[in-house]
Amino acid sequence: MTMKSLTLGIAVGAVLTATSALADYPERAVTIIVPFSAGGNTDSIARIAAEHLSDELGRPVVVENRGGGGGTIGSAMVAKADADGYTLLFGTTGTHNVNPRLREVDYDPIADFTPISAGVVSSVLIVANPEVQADTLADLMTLTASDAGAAMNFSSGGVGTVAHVAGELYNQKTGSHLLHIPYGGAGEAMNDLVAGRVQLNMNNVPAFLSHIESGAVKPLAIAAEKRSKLLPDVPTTAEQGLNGFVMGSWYGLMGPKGLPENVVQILFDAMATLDEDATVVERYKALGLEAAPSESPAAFADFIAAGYVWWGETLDNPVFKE
Amino acid sequence: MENIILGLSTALLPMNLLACLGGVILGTAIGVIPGIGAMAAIALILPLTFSLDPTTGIVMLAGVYYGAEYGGSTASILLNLPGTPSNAITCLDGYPMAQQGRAGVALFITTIASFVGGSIGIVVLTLLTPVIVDVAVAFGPAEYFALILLCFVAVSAIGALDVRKNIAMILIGGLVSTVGIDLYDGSYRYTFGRDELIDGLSLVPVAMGLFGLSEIILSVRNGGTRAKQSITLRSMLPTREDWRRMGLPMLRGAGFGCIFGPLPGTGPSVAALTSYATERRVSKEPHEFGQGRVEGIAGPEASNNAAVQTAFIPTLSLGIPGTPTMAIMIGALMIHGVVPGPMLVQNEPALFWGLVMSFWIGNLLLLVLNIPLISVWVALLNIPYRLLYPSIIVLICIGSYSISNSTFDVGLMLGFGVLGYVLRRQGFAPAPLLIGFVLTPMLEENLRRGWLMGRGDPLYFASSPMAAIVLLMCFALGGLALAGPALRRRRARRLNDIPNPGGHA
Repeated sequence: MTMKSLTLGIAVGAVLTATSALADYPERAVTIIVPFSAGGNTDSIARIAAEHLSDELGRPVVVENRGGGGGTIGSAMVAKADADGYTLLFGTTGTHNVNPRLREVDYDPIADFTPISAGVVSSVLIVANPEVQADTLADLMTLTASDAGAAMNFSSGGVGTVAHVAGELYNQKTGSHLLHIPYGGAGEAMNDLVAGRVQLNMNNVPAFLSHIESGAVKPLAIAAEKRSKLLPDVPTTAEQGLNGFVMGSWYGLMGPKGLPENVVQILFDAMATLDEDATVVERYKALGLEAAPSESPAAFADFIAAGYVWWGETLDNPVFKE
Repeated sequence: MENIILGLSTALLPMNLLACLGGVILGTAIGVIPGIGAMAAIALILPLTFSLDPTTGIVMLAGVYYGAEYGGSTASILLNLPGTPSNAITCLDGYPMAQQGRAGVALFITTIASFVGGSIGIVVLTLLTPVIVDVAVAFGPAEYFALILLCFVAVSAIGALDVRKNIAMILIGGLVSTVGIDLYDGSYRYTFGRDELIDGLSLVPVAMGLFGLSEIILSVRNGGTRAKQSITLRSMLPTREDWRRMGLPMLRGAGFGCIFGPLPGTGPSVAALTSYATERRVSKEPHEFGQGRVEGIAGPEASNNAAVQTAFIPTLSLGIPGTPTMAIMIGALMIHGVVPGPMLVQNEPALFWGLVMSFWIGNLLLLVLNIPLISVWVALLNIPYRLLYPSIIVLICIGSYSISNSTFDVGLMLGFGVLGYVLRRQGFAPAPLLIGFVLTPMLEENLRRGWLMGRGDPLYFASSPMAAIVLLMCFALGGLALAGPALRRRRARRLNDIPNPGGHA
């Protein structure tokens, strides 16, 4: 083959790919960037979703881990990727609501992305070491607001994580002075909680699941509008008189800005059946999660935008700025 | 007993046996290749295990993990190229042995030491799981702080003969380790606005640059002379003297591994460091360490292998990962719907005991696999420099790149290579720098955590008997180190005063 015909071939190929991206998407493997390392929470959620998407789309959907910078490096990469539907992102509360509120990031969490659908929405669970003299959230609020509360600690997997913000929000809402003890990750934070050196932790359900089963920690309340199907005996915060304390994390699929509408629709339709796939439901349940696809791509976009506003206001608190 | 039978019947299923074999072969290969550590390898093959049965998957991942610890010493000994900090300690005496033409012996010893350490670790894992769990939870910031401080004091003598130079290197290593996000207030330290620096510097490029690349630059400068390696079987077997010397260090090393392995937040590197420092301290010829002492490789290799086995105790029975690699293991189990924690042994006995028994099988396979390979590795050293070194540089560049698919880490490795060269030309040893780099973040983390928990009361750090005793040991050891030279001088003077009984004066 001469050089000329080779170049021509490549050019034709490129044109064909560009047009067919609109016609018969997907024509080849789709890559979902997980902006965290393999084996983490986001990675597990994304891989289970990716397997479902492969079945629905009839093409392999591959997960690629691009960790670092608290998820901002992988997110920035997708923000700059071609909007052809072959490079997607599994974004999270951290990458799209929290980090951009805490520091400069290389992307605009709203303008640079095309939201497709949420995969999982998880709520914060308030858990205590079994030795803590409180069996309900009401007891706990009385205890932490008293003088004894000033000697109590809550832990998190780092500054600006959901668990940290939840704890400070709790302090603010209940007039308590719990001290924040950060750790290198949610898993590491469990050791001192189980041992009783830290009394409280407020994080998404998966962090505690096995420890609740074994009785190493006791769940007091879930920070959601309604009770979780996974823990039906745990009352919500509002049920126990703590209002304005509903928070959690979301994990969802999105592409770079300007993703063609039909591509968004195909991907959305595939995501929409996530909670009907028995394997997915079972696997998420084992992780302490529930599949929660959005009602429409627009609804997911509104959800992200609302979260961005909520986190902006919540983080506008002197304890998060040092 | 029935647990063991259940475990064996699970581990010996053809699929699991195959997974175990595949895992340890891959682990050995990855350990031998400089720069690609167990963690990167496990993250890479993790997706492959999703389609397997959970037991098969975790048996394979675990095989990669402890297999890499076996293989990791190979490049340390042959090329002064450690993939992990625990193997970096093996460079100190393993590489000089290779330079003296005893690479085969060194590899043989580390294989035996790895097997002994691994086996002792598995026995502890099998018998003492419930006991060790309570101990691991009992360790809080005060105890960790004291323990890591003790490690600091103990290792300050490792490296160059001049202790002041070593302390300077430890401090520089500590400074380098502070790059990245401050865990406690979220502020950015020395990140210069770069996203790559937010998570701090990765250990692998730092270690490979400091040890491996600087070694290559030095040998090129020195014109590339080295001892010819003999590859006959006899030359690879340790002498009777070697056997005698390695026995106790292996047992002590395995002991340290069993102590540090299950503690979340310390692990194989601290175990290997403590083992080396101990061997150096109990030896009658401490000044010979760093010049090819058998004890200096047997102890640390036994301890890091014991530690990787016992690291599974808190991971499986508490659901608390001791190291980032163990966090990936937990993720691998969770994605299969197996939740690690106190209920695991009851809910999934076949998985738990099958895994434990696969460790035995894996360690045996590694022994059988590694002994014949020694001659192959040693023969590698007889490849001319002009062919060997460029290939190694390519490998360590790939290793650096693979950590987070970023060229930034390749640049970092090159930078530390030049730094390592400059330091070694000036008579500074790179090992203490790496030790400072590994230990300082642990020390800072626990110091500040204890400070918070104790509400600023310094006595919090001596609030438990364990912490208080270890702190006292730090002071005693530190005092001894400072007073040591003076005492030795005095003793030497006294010996000279005694009339020489032989009358040869």
